[in-house]
Amino acid sequence: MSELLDFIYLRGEYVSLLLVTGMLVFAGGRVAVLTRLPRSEVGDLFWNAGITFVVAARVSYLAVEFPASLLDPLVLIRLQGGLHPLVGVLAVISIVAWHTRGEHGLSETRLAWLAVAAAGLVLTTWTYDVACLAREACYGAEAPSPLGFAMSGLSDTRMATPLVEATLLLIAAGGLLSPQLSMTQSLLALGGIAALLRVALTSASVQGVDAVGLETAAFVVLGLVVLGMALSAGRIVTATSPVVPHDR
Amino acid sequence: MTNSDIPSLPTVEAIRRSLARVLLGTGTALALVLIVAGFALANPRPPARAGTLPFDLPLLDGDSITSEELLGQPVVINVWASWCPPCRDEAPILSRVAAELGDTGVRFLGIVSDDTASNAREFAEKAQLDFPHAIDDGSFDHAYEVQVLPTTYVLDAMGALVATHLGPISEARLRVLIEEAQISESGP
Repeated sequence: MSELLDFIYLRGEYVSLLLVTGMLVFAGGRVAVLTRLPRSEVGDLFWNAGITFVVAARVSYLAVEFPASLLDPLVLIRLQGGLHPLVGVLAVISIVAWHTRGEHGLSETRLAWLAVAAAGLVLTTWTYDVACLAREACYGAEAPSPLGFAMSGLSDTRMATPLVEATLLLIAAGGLLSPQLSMTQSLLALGGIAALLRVALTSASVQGVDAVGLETAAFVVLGLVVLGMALSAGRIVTATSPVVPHDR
Repeated sequence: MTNSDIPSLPTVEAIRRSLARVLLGTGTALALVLIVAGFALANPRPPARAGTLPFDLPLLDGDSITSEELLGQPVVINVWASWCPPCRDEAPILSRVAAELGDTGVRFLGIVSDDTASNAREFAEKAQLDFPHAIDDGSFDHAYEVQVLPTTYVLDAMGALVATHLGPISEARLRVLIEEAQISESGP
């Protein structure tokens, strides 16, 4: 048992995972109230999407980077070894597609559930960002003061990228939650902004390292598509209010 | 779910307004904290350690290395693991700079952390990290308080710690730190 614990290296990533799970459990009911969707269905979606995200992101990473290790369960659970978040996000979208399989195209109901999934992903991102304090990994790119600051153990000034992202997400969420927009619009727009913000901040954090490529481009496209959906949701809501039928 | 379980629209809108205010207020406060930190913590503290902490570790090739053997020339110590994505990202930079500066008296040492010797050996070979790599038994991690992978330490010829860099290092940054170590070597 101790060998297993040593191997999975019980530090930051698992603490972060626990915090993310706690946040999704805490926020599920509140998202249901705000979207006026059934609480149990929102909880189920968060749960299914969360597990699917982690499994898809981890397995896809291993399949691409270390295909031989796919058969080793210990390697599979060693999450700090790397994830492909984009594949996780696409898996979550497929969960929503399955959840709304009776719907056609971007119907009002399907958009509402996509908005719930977007809320879950933004909550996950925000909690994971803040959990950088537990991972002792709040540092980002080298940056001059006051954009960057001295951190313990470092000999240069760094931007606290995860905390900056968490802060900007809070401000964006506060701005988008105003009742001028429908809840579906607000949450989809927040999801789109979160994807674009991730690209902007990640690109700034890996300067000098050739780690920006296909995934970055895909997140930009995803962010723009989700923002487009938010606009589309606005047109639908105008035509057929209320957002979600009350008799679900 | 019945209609009575779903909050009324005015109730939801009131909750939204209240939540929006809380989120905006918290976000603004956090932004101010980050800005204040940016001004208040503008100058990194110099490394606390005056010299290399002693270590004696086995190398991947079966030999061993001690901290004393590193004295006499600037040293770049890079702590890595084959499963660590940012370590893989920075490997080409280390490979290139080590190959270029190997003849100028700058030594490179890899410390393999939380990894198996076979995986590390395979990765070092594939990434052309053609310098010695030691397998950490936990003593280096403990002594140097390694927080994240990768971490790069740059020491001068006297064994004094010139800089610690957390996360993947850029080529420009690595070269600057090596120059600082070389200047420090010729200093008082």
